[in-house]
Amino acid sequence: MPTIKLQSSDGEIFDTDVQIAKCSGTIKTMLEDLGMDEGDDEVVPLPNVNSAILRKVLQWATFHKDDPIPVEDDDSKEKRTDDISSWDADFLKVDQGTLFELILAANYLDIKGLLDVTCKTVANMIKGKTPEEIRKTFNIKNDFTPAEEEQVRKENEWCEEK
Amino acid sequence: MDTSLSYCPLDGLPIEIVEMIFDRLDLESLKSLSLTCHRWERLFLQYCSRRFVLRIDEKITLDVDVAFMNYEDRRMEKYLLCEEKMKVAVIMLEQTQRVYRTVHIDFHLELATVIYKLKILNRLFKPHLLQQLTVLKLDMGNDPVMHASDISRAVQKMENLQELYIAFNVRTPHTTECYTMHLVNPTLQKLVIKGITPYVVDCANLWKLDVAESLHVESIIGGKLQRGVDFTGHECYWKIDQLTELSIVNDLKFNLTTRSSILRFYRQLCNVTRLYLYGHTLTQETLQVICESCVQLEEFTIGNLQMDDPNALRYLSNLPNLRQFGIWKILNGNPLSFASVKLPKLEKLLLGCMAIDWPSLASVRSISWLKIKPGPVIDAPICRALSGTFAHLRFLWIDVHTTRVARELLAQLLQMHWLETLVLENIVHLRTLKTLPALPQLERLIIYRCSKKVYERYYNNEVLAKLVRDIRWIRAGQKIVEERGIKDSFEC
Repeated sequence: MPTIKLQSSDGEIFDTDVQIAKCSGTIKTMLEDLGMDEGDDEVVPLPNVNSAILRKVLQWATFHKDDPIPVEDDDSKEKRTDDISSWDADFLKVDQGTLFELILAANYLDIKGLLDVTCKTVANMIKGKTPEEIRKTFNIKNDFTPAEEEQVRKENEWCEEK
Repeated sequence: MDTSLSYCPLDGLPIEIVEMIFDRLDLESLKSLSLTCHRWERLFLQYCSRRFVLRIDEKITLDVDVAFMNYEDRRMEKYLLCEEKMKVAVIMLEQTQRVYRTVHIDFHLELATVIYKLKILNRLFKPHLLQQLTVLKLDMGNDPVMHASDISRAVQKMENLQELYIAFNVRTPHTTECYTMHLVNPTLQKLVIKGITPYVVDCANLWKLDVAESLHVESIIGGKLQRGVDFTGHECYWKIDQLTELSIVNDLKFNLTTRSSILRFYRQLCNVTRLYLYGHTLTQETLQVICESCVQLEEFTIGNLQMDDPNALRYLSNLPNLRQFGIWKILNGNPLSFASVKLPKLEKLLLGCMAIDWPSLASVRSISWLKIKPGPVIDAPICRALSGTFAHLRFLWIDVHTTRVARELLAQLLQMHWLETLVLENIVHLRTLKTLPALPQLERLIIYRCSKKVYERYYNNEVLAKLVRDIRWIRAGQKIVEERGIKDSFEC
């Protein structure tokens, strides 16, 4: 099976199946635009992704390599978050630092499926919580005065679904 | 969960990812998030106008304790609570630092007093708020004259306005003519008007206009209304020559029912590509004028047509780009005939409940999309049309009202080997669905506007799938048009 070499920000080289690497829109475009062919010994540098995260990303891409391309839907309705597969749910049982690095990597590498499922995971960490619970979850420092907080609460009351 | 973080990991996310996460959250969770700190409040606000709206309405939920009250007392209680609510709304609008782009003011329940209506409008129409508005929806309830001039002045100053919806509840026909409503705005693109006829509509970028009000054509094409010039010195005038979409759902009156008046009106609409005329009757002569003036039409729907001869539709052949045509009713004895119609680009046809010369539809057999509403008697010609002329249809929408009609028509579907989507509207009895033959070619079945009983029992798609075998995609419901995916092909 043809492979290419991906290099993480800390210099580690990953010999990767081309089909798997192409899950990433960024790598796919690079290969096509630069005319890089399989078998070339050239290395694709990925300066925004470290080896620990790249390893995770490739693990995800390997499992999902045969997934259909996700359809874009841009309606302004709330999107579901209850459809995360059990494999993905297990895969994403990581600490918050890793989860957010995975989001950034998925965004940089343009891997829609991974970006979608990681955003869903974060959304699920927020859903149904009180402000105080959200602050605790993400270590957010409350910089409202009680009066300001009351004002936000009051204005929020007028905000409704379209 | 990692709770030992020394920083907030959310802070490192770029705005587009923050918005992707927001897309996956419900309003209540977003409100909680906005209450965590200044930064998240700001991000929520930036995002807000895309999905949410600032709504000030008169909805009041009464406590359970008032259940014993009589109607009058309860109404009074609602008035008082509404007054409280409006008071709070006025203060909120006065103090707000927020930027609201989409605002919906709804007074249609008529609980708010005129004083509070005015106060709220005045606050909303303060320069720093009105300049940000892009979408404004005003359900004004009664007494249009009170507010028409305030609204007119404000609309003129809205520098970013794109969509405007103005509705009045009108109890007497005399209040519909409002000489103080002038809608002048250079950025406005879409306008919906109900219950009021503005004296002036002058918006250079307006392309879509929906009017649910009776109109005097003379007041639109300028000047000739009895009053001539109003007190502000404006002549009545609607700029309509740039419109590409016009929908009129009500009377269209001609003071002078002369050909020249009708001609002047439709000739101005030379750029219209979508025209929907409901609620009034078109004469055959008007149809001719439209087909000669609005030659760019791509979609055209007629509510009622007064036909003088059975081939009245021949004028449609003048519309080379027509892709969609609908007609609901004809007002004389002759069946509607398509025999002399030549429309090479026609794709969609919508036919109401009326006498139709079915064999004549052979001249529009190029269509792939058909909606019909058959009368109570199903005769051989309609069956032959479906199983012969239209055997190649990919989309069929039948408004069924009796089970017998359904049974006979549905039997024809066996011949339609290319049918992908079938919409059944107004199914009253469950047994109607049982008469549907096995249709392996069908990809989508939509049960639209079914009775409550059918809806409740069969909304569950699994139950439907068992009843109607071999169909991959089944949906049922009252609001099925909103289902993603089918929307484009289903809407008419």
